Amino acid sequence: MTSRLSRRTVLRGMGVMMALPLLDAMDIPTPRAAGAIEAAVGVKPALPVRMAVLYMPNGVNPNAWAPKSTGKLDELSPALAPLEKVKDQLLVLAELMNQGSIGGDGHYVKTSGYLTGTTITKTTGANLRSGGVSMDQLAAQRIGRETAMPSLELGIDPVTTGVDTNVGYTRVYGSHIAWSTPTTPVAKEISPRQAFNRVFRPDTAGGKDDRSILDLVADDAKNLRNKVGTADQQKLDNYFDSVRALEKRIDFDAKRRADQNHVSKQQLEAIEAMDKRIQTWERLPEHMEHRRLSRGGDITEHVRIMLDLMVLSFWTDATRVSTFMFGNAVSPRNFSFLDGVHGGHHEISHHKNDPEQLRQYLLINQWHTAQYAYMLEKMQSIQEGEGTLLDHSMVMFGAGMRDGNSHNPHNLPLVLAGRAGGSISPGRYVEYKKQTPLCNLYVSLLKRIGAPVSHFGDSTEPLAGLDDAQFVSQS
Amino acid sequence: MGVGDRYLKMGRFQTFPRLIVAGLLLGLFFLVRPGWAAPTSAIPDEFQQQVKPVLRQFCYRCHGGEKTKGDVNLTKFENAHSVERDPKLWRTVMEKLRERDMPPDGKPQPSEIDRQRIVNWVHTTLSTMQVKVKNPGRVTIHRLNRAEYNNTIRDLLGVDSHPADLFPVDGAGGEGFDNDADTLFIPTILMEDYLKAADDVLKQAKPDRFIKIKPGDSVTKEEAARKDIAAFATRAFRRPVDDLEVDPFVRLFDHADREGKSFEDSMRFALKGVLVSPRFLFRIEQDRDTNQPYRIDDFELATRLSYFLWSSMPDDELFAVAKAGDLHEPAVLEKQVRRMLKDPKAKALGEQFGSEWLQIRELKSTVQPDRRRYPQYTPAVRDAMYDEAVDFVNSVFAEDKSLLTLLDADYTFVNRDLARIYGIDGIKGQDMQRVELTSGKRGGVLSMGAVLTVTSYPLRTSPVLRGKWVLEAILGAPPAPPPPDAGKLPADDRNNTGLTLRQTLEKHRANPQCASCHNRLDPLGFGLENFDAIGRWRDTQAGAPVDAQGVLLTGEKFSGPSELKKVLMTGHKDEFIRNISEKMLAYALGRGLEYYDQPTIDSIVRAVEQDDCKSSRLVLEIAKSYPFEYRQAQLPARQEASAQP
Repeated sequence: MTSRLSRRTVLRGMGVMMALPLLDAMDIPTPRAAGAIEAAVGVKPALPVRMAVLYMPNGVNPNAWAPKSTGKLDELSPALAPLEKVKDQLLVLAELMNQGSIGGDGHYVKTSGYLTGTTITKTTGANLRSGGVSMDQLAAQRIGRETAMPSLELGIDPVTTGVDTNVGYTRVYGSHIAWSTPTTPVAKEISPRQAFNRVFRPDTAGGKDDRSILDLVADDAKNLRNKVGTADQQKLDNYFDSVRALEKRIDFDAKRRADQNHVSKQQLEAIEAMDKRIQTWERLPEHMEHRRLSRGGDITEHVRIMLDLMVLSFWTDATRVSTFMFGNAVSPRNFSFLDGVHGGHHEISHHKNDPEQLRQYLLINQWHTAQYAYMLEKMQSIQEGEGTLLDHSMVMFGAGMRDGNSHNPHNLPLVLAGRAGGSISPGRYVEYKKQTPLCNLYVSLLKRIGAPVSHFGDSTEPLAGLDDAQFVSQS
Repeated sequence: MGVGDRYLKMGRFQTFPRLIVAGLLLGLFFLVRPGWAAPTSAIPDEFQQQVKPVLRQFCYRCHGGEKTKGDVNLTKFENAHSVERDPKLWRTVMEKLRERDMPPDGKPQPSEIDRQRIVNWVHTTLSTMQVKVKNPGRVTIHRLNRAEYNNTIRDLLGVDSHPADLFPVDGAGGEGFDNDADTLFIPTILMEDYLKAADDVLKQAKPDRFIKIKPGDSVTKEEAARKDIAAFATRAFRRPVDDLEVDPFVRLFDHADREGKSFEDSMRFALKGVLVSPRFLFRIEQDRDTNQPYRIDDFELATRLSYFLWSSMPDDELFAVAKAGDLHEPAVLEKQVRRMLKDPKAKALGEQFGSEWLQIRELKSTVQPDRRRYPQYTPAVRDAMYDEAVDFVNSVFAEDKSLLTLLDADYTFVNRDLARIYGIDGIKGQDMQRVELTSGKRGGVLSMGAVLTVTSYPLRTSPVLRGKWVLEAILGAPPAPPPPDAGKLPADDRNNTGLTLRQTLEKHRANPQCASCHNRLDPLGFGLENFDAIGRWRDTQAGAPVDAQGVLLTGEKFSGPSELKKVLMTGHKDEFIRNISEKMLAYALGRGLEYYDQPTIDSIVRAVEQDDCKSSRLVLEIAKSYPFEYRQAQLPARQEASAQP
């Protein structure tokens, strides 16, 4: 059973400040948006719904992705095989497409347009524009007030530098899926230590004193804003928004502190274990050397730490919205650490239907699926209310293109896991009508997290059948 | 939308036809003329003979005659002159063709040769247009990037702890540099880092760096604080500050003081405010009440100069000259530039400009040669390769060498580990040291481990990637992206096809569709085949002698890297000088280049070539250039918005 620890004990025990909501797992509040969710999908969640997106670069081997038959998920495809243990938690969705990411470039728009459903402005920098706010950020902007952090962006690779002179795009586009405004990509945290500190140590975000400093510089930014041109204003707005976000975080932590909230023993232990695990990871020579850059070293463990941090953040209700990037667009990651793979990810994804290349491509896909499976199993092992953490979540996994060889954003490889508090009925393979907008799915996800919208991107309607175990698409 | 950056690309492509066309394919049809700058209106027939027939066959169906999809009617164009009158449309035509967006899938497609031919023709036509506007451009306010933050903190507080190394990595824009104002953002996690870093560096700094006046008999605590804060803010904001700007920070001081903190700690609190202020984190240039381009003031010029050459704030001397108000005087400016280039801080040119120009940053992130195949490639070797390139670029500017030294030099920098990779004997220790190169195999950036490794795959070299690198980094003529159905080479050069990598590529080029690009790419890469995937010299590969021969489309033949370098330095010197001038101008300005920068680039290139290509001449010409010293006025957006119809 959970035993309650006072904040003071927690602090003594860990030697760090806890940014936790400090709640017993049983006490997580009904989300404020519960009513809106009920109105939107007919099920009132007892616990907050969490939403995660795991993005995979370079597409998939198209021959090994789809399960054999639609309906109840029985025999998984080779690419999805690592998900065997959690297959009754999955919805494999076929034939969704992202219209906004057609044309233009092969990779960049497939990344930055993945969650916006829009077309990016072709530029190496000036007038950079994603075309829209990403659906995760939209959710964060609507429900983020309820948690310490509106959202958490994670990854393992730094922003790819340079511009792609071949096609005339800055690689900033290929390095971000989250956009808080059409002109503002949201940076992802790639260092396990920094990510841990950001979530669980609010002292790095400052306290009351920092609040007064932030107030002051925010005012100054406002003054400056009236004296500069449009592009400059965007930069100052970006500064101003970040200052405001930090202020909110500080206020949130202060309120928690005043409330004398509690953290469950299991949560505390999990956080401590994570702290130790990151220490171990950091001691690897490669990571000591470039702590912010993931290269060499144990990529799998790096990914798993980040995914576990996401799970821990969901579990402790530090945030309800999170994204993770397995890599940036055109990721050349050397996957030779997998038996039977010889070469880089992007290179192999251009398989030219060569059986040997396709075999290696599949192995790389399976590695990604296996990390996703790892996360889902972890979420399933965490009891929460009447069910598991996964039951109260929606965890989307996929890529911005079908096949790395043809860069095609039709029939995107996509899996959605979890029950969203009861409004999703998983364990199925659903094939939609060809060219069903991916944004229809986003409309459905946004409803379930309490940020309902009538339209998103090129959506035509909410995606049918997520909650209907008997659903068959009329094609 | 970036009208200009498209123009710029065309500007670059002025050089590209000379390289590729004169020989086999395209040259048979057109564009084989010396004296490239000939006005296009003199050659209207090319449009009629070469371009129009293809448009008629593949484009008119939707964009002319009965249908004008997207409001595009191509039938109304009859010659180069008419094309020049609608550059916007033709830029789009060029891009759609170049990226194979048009004709759409499922419609008849022109051959690669025809496609490239039209693209080149439009490039040439638009890039030789006379630029009539005089516009210095307008740089978006710059957020300090990671290197600039580190260096500025170092010079401001004497703290060299590189706090920004833990900040999120900056993206790059413009011509490929991460000081491009448009691609620098302040995400929340960075703001959080700024607060933390400000705390840390103020703790580490010696109090005498920020307290010059202490409270005493003749000066009150408040007076001392105000003076100290003003002095610090002047340096941190890189220009004089008035009382109004200092007031808020004095309030912070009072706040801490009232809480009973010491003078020193109260000052730290106030200065923390300075270090997270937008006036510190951004390089803000004040707008003027005018709608004409205006000369920036001397403090702003000093700041541009110091971030260009040092990636840091101005030093006391530069501030003093700015304060005296004569930094913009050419003689004064030249004296300062020469002084700054000799300062050790100018190594930032190698570290920042050099590493991004050479595209070697990826060495420290995603580039990973296979460990089993190349166990010699250790993290230490990787770092030495990186440092070699940086030290070498730095030496060219610090010692005022010819820019051509970058292409070929008789010295480089190695440590023991890198010397082993290069087969140089007698080098001890892990410190980088200058060595003379005598074997004739190495010298210049083309033969550097860092460049050769980032242009390889984990298990083999890539003549295609290396060729692409030469076109981009050296000649400034990036190739079009490969079509989706482009072939693929085996991942490993130890393959079983019975063909060498070279033979496989030659087979690929036998297809004329592929040849239109690969005839440009591959020979350049073949010339570097004596270097393996981590830059070691090799005479044989997979048991056979390395074939490093190549023929450029311009007809020059070579065998091996040193002959390739000679070819580049003689026949393609102009392209190289133009390219590095463009790159450095963009870096200096922190923005992408625009079509209206073309006259500036032309005059820089002329001046550099007339001065034996000295590196200092390039830097000086940039510092004295119109876009560097001037700024386009812009009304504040509020008024601008209301001014629009």
